[in-house]
Amino acid sequence: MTDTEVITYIVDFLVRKQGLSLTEMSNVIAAPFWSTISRKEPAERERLSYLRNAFASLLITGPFSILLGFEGGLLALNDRLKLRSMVVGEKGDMVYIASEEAAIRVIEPNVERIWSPRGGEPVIVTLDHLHK
Amino acid sequence: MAVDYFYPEYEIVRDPNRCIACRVCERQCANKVHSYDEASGKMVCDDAKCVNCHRCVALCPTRALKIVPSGDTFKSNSNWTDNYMKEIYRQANSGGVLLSSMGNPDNFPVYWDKILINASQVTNPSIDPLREPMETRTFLGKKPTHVKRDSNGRLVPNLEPQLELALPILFGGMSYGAISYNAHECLARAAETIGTFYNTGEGGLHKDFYKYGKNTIVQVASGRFGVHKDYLNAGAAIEIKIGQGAKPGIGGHLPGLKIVGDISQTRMIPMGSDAISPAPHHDIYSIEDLHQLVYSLKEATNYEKPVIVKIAAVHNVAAIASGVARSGADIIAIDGFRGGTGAAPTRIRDNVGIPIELALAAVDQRLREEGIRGNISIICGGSIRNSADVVKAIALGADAVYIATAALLALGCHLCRSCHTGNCNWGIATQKPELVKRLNTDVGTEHLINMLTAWGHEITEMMGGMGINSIEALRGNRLMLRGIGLTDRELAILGIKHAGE
Amino acid sequence: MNINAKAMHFKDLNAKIRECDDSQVVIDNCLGQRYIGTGLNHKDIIINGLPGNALGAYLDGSKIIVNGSTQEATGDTMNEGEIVIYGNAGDATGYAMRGGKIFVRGNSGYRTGIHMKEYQDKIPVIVIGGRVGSFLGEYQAGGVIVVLGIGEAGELPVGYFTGTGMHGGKIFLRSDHEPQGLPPQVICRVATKKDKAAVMGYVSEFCANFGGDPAELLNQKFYLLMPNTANPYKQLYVNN
Repeated sequence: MTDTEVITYIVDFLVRKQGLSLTEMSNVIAAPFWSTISRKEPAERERLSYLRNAFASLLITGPFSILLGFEGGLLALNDRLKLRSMVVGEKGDMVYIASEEAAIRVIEPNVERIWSPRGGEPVIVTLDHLHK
Repeated sequence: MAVDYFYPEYEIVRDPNRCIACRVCERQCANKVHSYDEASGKMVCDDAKCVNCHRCVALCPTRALKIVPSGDTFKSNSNWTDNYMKEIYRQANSGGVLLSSMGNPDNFPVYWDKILINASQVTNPSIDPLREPMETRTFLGKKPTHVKRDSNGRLVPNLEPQLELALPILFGGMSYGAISYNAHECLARAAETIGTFYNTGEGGLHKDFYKYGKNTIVQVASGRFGVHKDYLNAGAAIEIKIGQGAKPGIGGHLPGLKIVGDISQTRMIPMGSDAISPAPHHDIYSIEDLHQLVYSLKEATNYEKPVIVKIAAVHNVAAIASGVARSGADIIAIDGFRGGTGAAPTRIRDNVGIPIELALAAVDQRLREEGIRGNISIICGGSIRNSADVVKAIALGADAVYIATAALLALGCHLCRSCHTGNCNWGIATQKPELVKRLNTDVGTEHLINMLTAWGHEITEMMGGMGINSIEALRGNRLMLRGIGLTDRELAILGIKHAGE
Repeated sequence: MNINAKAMHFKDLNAKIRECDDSQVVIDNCLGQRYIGTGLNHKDIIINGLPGNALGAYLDGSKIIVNGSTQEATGDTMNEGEIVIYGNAGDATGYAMRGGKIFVRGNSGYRTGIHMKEYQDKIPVIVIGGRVGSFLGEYQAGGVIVVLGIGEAGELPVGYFTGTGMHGGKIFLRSDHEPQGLPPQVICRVATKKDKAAVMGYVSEFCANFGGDPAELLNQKFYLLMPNTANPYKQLYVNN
């Protein structure tokens, strides 16, 4: 099986079978380090600790940069160390995601907002509305 | 609790009838094993300090000394061997990570010793290499994917930069810092005379050695020590060190205490500053990133130098090599798990990585299957011990081999595996001036030249026996090899038949 | 010399730059071409557009001005010279740089200044106007990193794991909040007037490039990170 297939199965298991949200799924496969979790507010700390513990074997370490298509949207996620580059650009109601800003600018030279998401922090784009 | 006391591993046997108390042994031992007892007028020794480097044995003018195993053992146990027990005692006392030097000494299979070489009988006549033409010249670098012709139909030479070797043997990377100035000088001069290359390792290039540039491979490791434009342009090729067979996945650390004088200048870091090589290059997290470093080096040297990527032989080596072959690199160097080191955590050295024989065969096979073998030349290293190993490596698919431990042996190393202590009595793995000067560079250079010359003769002798008069006809010629005492699986990975087939 | 880099391959672009005799090269319509200015000296470059990865790798004395942002590994193993970036910089900016200066008006990505080191009279400097990602100054062995956090309203302008493995050099963070979770081998304290005086020159250069008042910036609270020489990294080894 390729890495892509493995990750697809993991996402399917967490999101469809277990009913986690896409953000929760991201918190499992690209979970923050325990030292980072320990500095969160209590409720967030508990939530992140629960997810890391309950699905410990589904943590994906090492470099990855995922684009996941789902019904009505797109999710982009880097590994928690951000060992891969990823850039997100926006123009009007269009969103562009690539590993290099240059790639986005080739498609849309006048891209308006451009930023690099943090490692482990999912960017979720849906057809109806856009939120980070 | 005296569990940290071990009865000495070696016993120094001194023949009192031969010893003349000349005190050479005392002067020659940086570990202070020997001393002169004024009261008795006799030499005495503390066996516990002995690392079994044989310096005193070799220099004793009356052959009064020998070193033997002391024979002290714990209660026999095949599971809890003496070594495992002692290691626990050492760690229980210190809390320290076990540190060792040189290659994995454990009893893993040595496939070279289970492979036999062919010879011709009757058909395809064998050749006498002393009296008949015999070629060992080797070019390392990319081969063209298709030929180009000008408007007159003449061939346009479209080869990428190549390294030309008189013999398919290069000296592997050993940094100035890990080994001494004198050792580097010997390697550089021998490479120049023989017509091959030595490798700076990751410690930069000493200013005195720029003159050997055309026989030098300059290394770029994760710490980027001493890496600057002139350095990159000084050598004949650039090697990106990703990993090392003795410690795959592990970075390096030369403590600030060793960053003195020339070493500081050559590495281009302040005296006393720790030289830390991170485990990865932090600009390489993928084959695409490797491609980027390969090309930034090519840009910095105007596409005039081949770029080598050195990796350790690990489980997925074939797939990794396939990626390296597509990264723009010209040469891949694969280092097996028996390769040497100036210092490595014992557990890593003895448990991580795979034998070079299997790695090499797997890589060559994979690159051929994918049709990209011509993209890249293969250098293999990690315990090439003699000319037969070289012949077997080339028949398994290597274009050339790296030797390093063998080269150090030629310089006097006795494999006492104490490099990390910095007290090398042979003046090789040390920076102490009084020890370094023991390595006479004229003699050392000559010894290296002698060894390579002898290996060259033996290689051509074996080639001649097979009826092969040019080294490229041996490369990847696995029909010239047979396995002995190997399983079907091992034979399949090596891509060779069993003896008798 | 002006080069229109539109749709030009990096090899052709960089060959043109190398071959050009002018002391200044202006690149227009730059978009993603890698390795610009690799190992360059005696020649300055002005880039209009977005250069690709490894801009100014092994840079050896040239000044590069980027009217735009840069991507990954800007100034990789740079030895001398200056890179001035009017936009943002990508990840691993200034990796293993040994000398020269990098000024970024906007933000910089993960692993900024990783393994930068100094040598003799070479003290590499990175000044970032905005904020930076995690692992700022990881393995830092020398040199100076200043993060000004302009527009961050006193919030901490860095991500997580700042100074991991740091064993030399200095990091200055303009912030009202102390970074948390630093390794025990790093000391962090509020920068004194004397500390700040040492980076006045760099901040002034930053302001000369991008505007702003250096005195006013330096008047605010800075935290200074340095390796803790009393508590070095100790992996205790035992001979085996």
